[in-house]
This record gives sequence, structure tokens and C-alpha cells, in this order.
Amino acid sequence: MLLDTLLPRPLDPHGDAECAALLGSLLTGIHLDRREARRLGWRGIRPSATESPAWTCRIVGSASVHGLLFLGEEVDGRSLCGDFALCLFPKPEAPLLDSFPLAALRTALSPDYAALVRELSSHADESGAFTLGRLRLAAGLSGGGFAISLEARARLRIRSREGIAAANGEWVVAPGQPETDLPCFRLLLRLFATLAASAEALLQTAPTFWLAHAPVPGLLHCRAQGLVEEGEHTEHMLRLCAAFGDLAELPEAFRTGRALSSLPLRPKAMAPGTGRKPVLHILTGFLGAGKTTFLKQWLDFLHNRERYTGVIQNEFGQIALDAALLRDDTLVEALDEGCVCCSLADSLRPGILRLLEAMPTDQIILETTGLANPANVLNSLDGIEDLVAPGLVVTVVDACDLSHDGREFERDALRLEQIERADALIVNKADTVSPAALASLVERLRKTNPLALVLPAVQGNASFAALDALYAAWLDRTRPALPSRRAALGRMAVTHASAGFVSSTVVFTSAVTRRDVELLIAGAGSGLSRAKGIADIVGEGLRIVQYAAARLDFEEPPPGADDGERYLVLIGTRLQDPVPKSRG
Amino acid sequence: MDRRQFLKGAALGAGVGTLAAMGAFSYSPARRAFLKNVTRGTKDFGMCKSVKVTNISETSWFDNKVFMRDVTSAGGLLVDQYTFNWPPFGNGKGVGKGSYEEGIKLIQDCLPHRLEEAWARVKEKCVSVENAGGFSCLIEIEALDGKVTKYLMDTGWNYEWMDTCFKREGIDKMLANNEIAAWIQTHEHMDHYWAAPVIMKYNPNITAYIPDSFYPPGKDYLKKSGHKGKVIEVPKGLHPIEPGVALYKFDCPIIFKVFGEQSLYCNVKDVGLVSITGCCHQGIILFADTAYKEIAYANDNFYGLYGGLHISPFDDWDPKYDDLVIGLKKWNIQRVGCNHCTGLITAQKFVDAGYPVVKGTARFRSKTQNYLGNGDVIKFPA
Repeated sequence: MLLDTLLPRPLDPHGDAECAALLGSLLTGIHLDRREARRLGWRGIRPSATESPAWTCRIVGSASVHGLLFLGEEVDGRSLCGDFALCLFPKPEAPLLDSFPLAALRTALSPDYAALVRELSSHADESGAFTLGRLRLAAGLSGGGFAISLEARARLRIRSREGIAAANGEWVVAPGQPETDLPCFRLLLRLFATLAASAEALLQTAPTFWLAHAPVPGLLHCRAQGLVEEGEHTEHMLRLCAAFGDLAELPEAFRTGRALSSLPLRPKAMAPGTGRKPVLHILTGFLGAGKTTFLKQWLDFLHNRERYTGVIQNEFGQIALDAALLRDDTLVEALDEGCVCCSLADSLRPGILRLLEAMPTDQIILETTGLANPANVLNSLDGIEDLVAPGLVVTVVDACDLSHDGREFERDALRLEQIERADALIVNKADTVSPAALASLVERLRKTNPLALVLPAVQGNASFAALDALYAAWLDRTRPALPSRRAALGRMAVTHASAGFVSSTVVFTSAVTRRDVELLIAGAGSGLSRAKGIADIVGEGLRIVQYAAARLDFEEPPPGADDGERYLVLIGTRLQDPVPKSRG
Repeated sequence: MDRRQFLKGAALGAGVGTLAAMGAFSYSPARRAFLKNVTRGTKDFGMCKSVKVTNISETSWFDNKVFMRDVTSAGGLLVDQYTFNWPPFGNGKGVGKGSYEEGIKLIQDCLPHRLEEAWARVKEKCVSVENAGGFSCLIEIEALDGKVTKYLMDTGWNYEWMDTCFKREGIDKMLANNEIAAWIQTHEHMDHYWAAPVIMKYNPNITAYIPDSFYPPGKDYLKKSGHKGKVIEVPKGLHPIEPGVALYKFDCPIIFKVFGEQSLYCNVKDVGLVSITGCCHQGIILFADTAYKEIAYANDNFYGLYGGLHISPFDDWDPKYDDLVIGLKKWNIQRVGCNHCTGLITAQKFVDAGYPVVKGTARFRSKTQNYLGNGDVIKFPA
């Protein structure tokens, strides 16, 4: 049965809110595959159900929030027919609001507007002034037919007979002029198109479209009688219907009018064949800024939403500690020693292929070494366009490190490149500096890269939904180009090799003390930028050793991190041999 | 005059009176005048004195990357769970190439009493057998008169793992002694349901509550597991099962071709509502809103929450709200035991945000103390 996909049980004609269940099922069903939902035009949904079932949502191509509020249902012949109010909530600053009823503008300017929109279910009354049309839904009681229709005036004009005047006598709405003037049908069409496309995807049946129109009288507001119809039928009520399956089962109203072969105003994103190449995000950040910690949090966010993501890692230093730290989180493909920004063309392609072979995900994050120049990495992506779609460049910076005097990234070519080319800057360890220092750092970062999204983070925990929104806005072209996509500036790309970075690895054959590790760090000299490793610490057990920004930490290892090896990797410039002769 | 100036300014004269009059009725003729006046829920299903939950197993699978590899290589989230070749339904053809019919044929003669033999066959024909764990918990309701009723929520997945867990918590004996009043199956997912024969091994006559939207393989498996007891198919909405305890079935499509999930609402005297969920696929917003809409509970207080707090089925249209911790704030919950599909970072966020998360002991392969882990117990009220 056609309706089984939406509701695998018979419809209950006395079930009270069966049509709301069907619509809920449609919305949830299409979001089981969040990427498909995005492709069809959905940009987020917020359900609310404290009173009548309601949903607010965003649709690609519209800056307003749309609302659906269940009004009721009744049996009509062999179908159950449900009614939903269709609302449109523009941003308070949107000029469109000036054509809405004044009451809508008044609500939109109130501080409670956002809460009202989010909790539409319990604000049915206030939503009246934002209601531009209705959605009707018909479902055959035997489960064979399904239809939705959009009913709205081509133009909703409400003239005010007496006009509305301010206290000083000035007219806000002059007598006889429209107080409300909205192209309702057009404003609601995108939502309807997205709903119809979602139904088509879930029901796996192409719909038949009908467009009908009927002349209706204009509307006049007068003080004595309130809202009245004006005699002549000068306005148009439009009804657009998308019907699926057994049409005979549906009420007449859902299959009358002029048949259309496709929907007008079909959003671009819905065009078939948009492709499903995995997206490749690039994660950079200077040595020890907290890239791996951030990555773990990001993966948790994504995996909680069933957006399974593979990781390609590249470490400077012989042994892949970061891969071990992520072992419990996802599949990690570790690239050969060296830095991805210098030998990318050779190793990245086979790495991506190996990863996709093992786990054909929709999304990959490439974690580069702290020494990688994103400009070099980006240049090398040209060769793998057939494999992946470009994602964001995310750079993690260390708030503590960059707030120290003498650590000005503005004078460090590599750090500067990492910051300038980032689409999002994660200011990690934000809790280790004062609010004033954080604000001043954020300002410096904004000055260096005004187009980047700057997100403070503690323990790598940032607003990942904001990252999603950034990427979506770029795909939807509702924001300026991403910094990573800007034409290269023509400056000589800096590499870590030209900056003189080297790495060395100390292997531990037995347990060591904290003091041993401190001596190793000190012994490496002032050129040491970063050290990391895994060691049995006497009296403590297995610990992850982290040295960054002149801070040494011994952390509990995450589950699965122990692969039996014990070592410390040191990275920096002009490294001295730190190993005492007795150990090695 | 500019409308915004008019509304903003103190120029509140004649105009506002007109505006108020205009606001008194609907502006749009498309809006139906007979919008039902739905008010705050008042369904009263009585009260209980306390609720105790023992987590038998919350570790659905042990290695996330193995699980994700299986899912992605079989074709993703919309693939029917019975075709993955996950235990116990295997045909030896590899990931994504199985079927319920072939799988059940392989083991049905062994169910429910020769489970070791069944599992030996499963190991040969299925993929990722050792990765399977399961979700199951014991719920003990203390009535106002002090009488305690026990319910088993969900069966888990891996026969071997679940049998070990059941024995660890003494569930095997409770089942055999008829101490457990009923088995509540929240939804049809493999990690919650596929160890059903392990329950039948100890008590095939137990009463089962299942959502009314199980697919045919799920219903068939119930029978072939050896279940002989009463089956109550719970329809959409509220379904009280004893004073102070009600099931609520949500109609929602779920990944891996599953439909519908039921959760448990308990009205606990003096403290308020305690909600117990398997995965909460309906989304925590709907779960909480529905309680508010439908039922009356003590002190009008959302007191406690236990189980897998699955993230919303949707991304929020406002990224700043795309966070479970923020989403739950308005309910002011006083006692939370989370695990399973909650997510380690989400659990940590709850702790960081100062939520009253009852800590666990991270034993028996549970990964964090922020989870109420395997073998841990939570009581409402404390």
C-alpha cells in the first residue's frame, strides 16, 4: 500500500490527529537521511506539540521561517482530510513585514517573537496574523491515495476603510489603502514544493499536479463590522495540488483544475543529479592547538546525528598517535609520514580511496599536521575533484598560546596562512584566558580574516551546528565566498620545510617517571614546539603525554588508544638530541 | 508614517485602539475559525511511590567504527535492518546481502532452548557478531501500598552477551520465577529486540507490550523466538498499565526501516513525572511536549529521565538551539540517568551544564562514568 511508507498501519477515521501523524511521518521520514533532506531544500525543522501539533522550518531560498499548524481533520468520502495553517515568519528586520498585517509587525518587533515562532504549537492565536494560506492533506482510508494541496490567495489585500492614524494625526494607513498586501501563494510555494518533493521521494511515485483558481472578493476592514468581503470578485484564490497513487480514492477537490507537468518555482537544490560525492573538510591548526580533541567532539556531534564520517590523518613524526586516540570514534586512514601539504598528490588520493572502500561515508575530515599550510593542501585538491566535493577549512587556534606576548601570529607566516585561509576559526582553550584577552584575540582574528566564522571552544567543544550552517549558507550562496575559496593571493606559499621544522621520536622500552619526560622536553631545546606520545608513567599507569604552548600534560588515554607502543614524538626547529645516553 | 516608527514610538493614540480591534479576529480567511482549543493535559493515570531502574546493558555495540562500516557499506540508514546480515539473521553472503527469511531459517529450530547452538551457526553466517551488545533494563515500580512490580524493557541483541548480562543482574531467575510482570519492547531495532529468545529461554509465557507498528518480520520473530504469552499491541497514544505507569506510543519512522517507538511515563508521588526511554527516536522535544500536553503529573514537575536520549530527528533551523542540553532546559529536570545513544560528548555536556546527571561506575564495558552504565542503578526519587 502506498501509505505504508508513511504509516504502516491502517488509518483510524476517528483517530483525531491522523493527518498530523502522516505529516509528522513525512517530515521525519525524509530526515532519516539528512543529506537527502538538505538536497530537497529542508534547512532545519523544529517540532512543537504542547498543544496542537506544529512544525516550524526553514526552506532553501527563503530567509523567513515557515510554520505548519494542525487545525483538524474530517472524513470526506473515502479519504481522511486534514487542515494545516501555513504561516510565514519573516525576520523582524525584513521589509516584507511592512506588508503584513500591522499586528504581525507588532508581534515581530516584540522580544518574545523568537520564542513564539519556536513554540508555534502553544501560540496558535498570535500566529493568525502570520497565516497566509492553508495546507490540506488527503489520505485514502484504504491506503492507496495521498495528496497535499496549497490554498492561498494570489494576493491578499485588506483595505482599511477608515485608515489607521498615529496620535499626531499622521496616517500609517491612509483611508481606503491596503493595510495588508501580500503575494501569499508565491510566498508559500517553496514550502509546498519541498513537501511535494519529499512525498515523491518517500512514496517513490511521481505526483500529478493540478492548479485551480477561483475569483474571490476583496477584503475590507471597517471599524463597525470588522473584516468584510467587498462585493466584486476581483482577487484570485489559487489551489495547487500534488496527488499520488490511487486518485479515485481522493476527494474531487484534490484532482481538479489544470494539470501541470511540473511545479513552478522548483528550488534549484531539488534538481535531480546534484550528486552525492562525499564532502571533504580540512582541519588545520598549529601544533598543539587541540585539533584532535576538537575532531573527537565534532565526530561525536556528527555520529549522534547518524552522519557517519571517516577521518584521514597525517602526522608529522613517525608514529600515528592521533590515529590511536581516535581509534574508538571512527575509521581512520593514516597517511604516510611526512606532511600532507607537501606530498599530497601522491598520498591523499589512495588514502581517500582506501577509506571509501572500507567505509563509503558521505563525509570525510582530513586532519592535517600542525605544520601544514592549508593553501598547499587546497591547491592539491584539484586533482581529486572526481572523488570528493570540497568542504570547509577549519583551523583550530590556541587562545592561550596566541594571547601570550611574543606569540603574534601576524608575524608567523605559517600560522598566518592557517588563519587567513580558514572558513571557520575555532578559538580553543577559551577558558584559559580572561574574557578581555579572548575578546581582543577574536578581534585580531577577525581583522586578519574578516570572512571567517569565529567560534570559541573549550576542550574542543564548539557550536558544531554553526559550522553546518556556515557550510549550508555557502552551498546556498546566501553568504559571501568562503576564505578558502578566494583566489590565491599570489604570495609564495610557505611550507614547513622552508620554516625548518623537523621531528624526532623517542621510544620507551619501560615505564618512565614524569620527571624523565620533563627532562626529555627540556633537553630538546628552545626550538621545541610540540611533543606528544604515550607512556607508562610510574605510579600512574598509561598516560597520553601532551606538550604544547609550553604546557606539559599527562592525560588519561581514551578507550582503545593502547596499541602496545610507548613513545614520545618531538616536533620543532633546531631540535637537540634530547635522549640521555642510558635510554633510547 | 512609517509603520515601525508608529509601532515603536510612544505615539500610542487612536491607531493602537484600531490595531487592537483588528487583532481581535483572524486576518486570513484561509485560517479556519474552528481551531480546536487544546488545553493542558489532564489524563490522570494514578500515581506510584517510586521507580527504580537497573541498567542490564546499554552498550548496543562495542566498536562504533565497525558498526559505521557495516551501515555505510550496506547502503546507509534506509536499509532494512534484517538485510544487514547482522546476528542472528545471516546467510553467509556478506554485509547488506541478507534477509529475514534466510536468517530465521538458519536458527529457528534452536529457539529458544538451544541458543548456544544457534549462536554457533550465527557466528559462521553473520557479520560483526562480536560487535553486537544490546539495550535492556529492569524497571521496578513501587505502588503506593509498597507492592513492587517489575518490568523488563527491551531484550538486547547478542544472545551470548545478553545472557551473561541477565545472569549478572539475576534477571534469568526473576524471569523463571515469574517475578517479572511484563516485557515492554520499545521498538523493533536489532540492538533492542533481537535477543528476544534469551527471554523466552527463561519464561516464554511473559506478557509482551509491543508497538502496533511492528513489521511482519518483527512479529514473526516474536513467535519463532518461542513466545507463548499474551501480546498487547500498543496503539498511538497513552496506554496506562498500572496506577502511575503508562506507555506512550509515538508514530515515527526510524532508521533501518523501523516504525514507531513507545516510552514509559511514570507519575511518582510528591516528585512528579519520570520518563523512561529506549532510544527516544521521536525526539526529546516531542517526548517532553507530549507529556505536558497529554497527562497530569505530581506537582506539575518533570522530575526524572532515564535512557538513551537520542538526538532530535531534525536539525534545528536555528543552529544556536541545535543542542539537547539547551532543548531540555525549560523542563528543569532534577534527575537524569543517560546512556546508550545519548553520546559521550552530550553526556559530558549535561554534566558541564550542571545537570543532575547520576553518575555510573563504567563497569562491564560501559565507557564513561557520565553514563548510567551496565549494572548501574538509578532511583526516583533519589
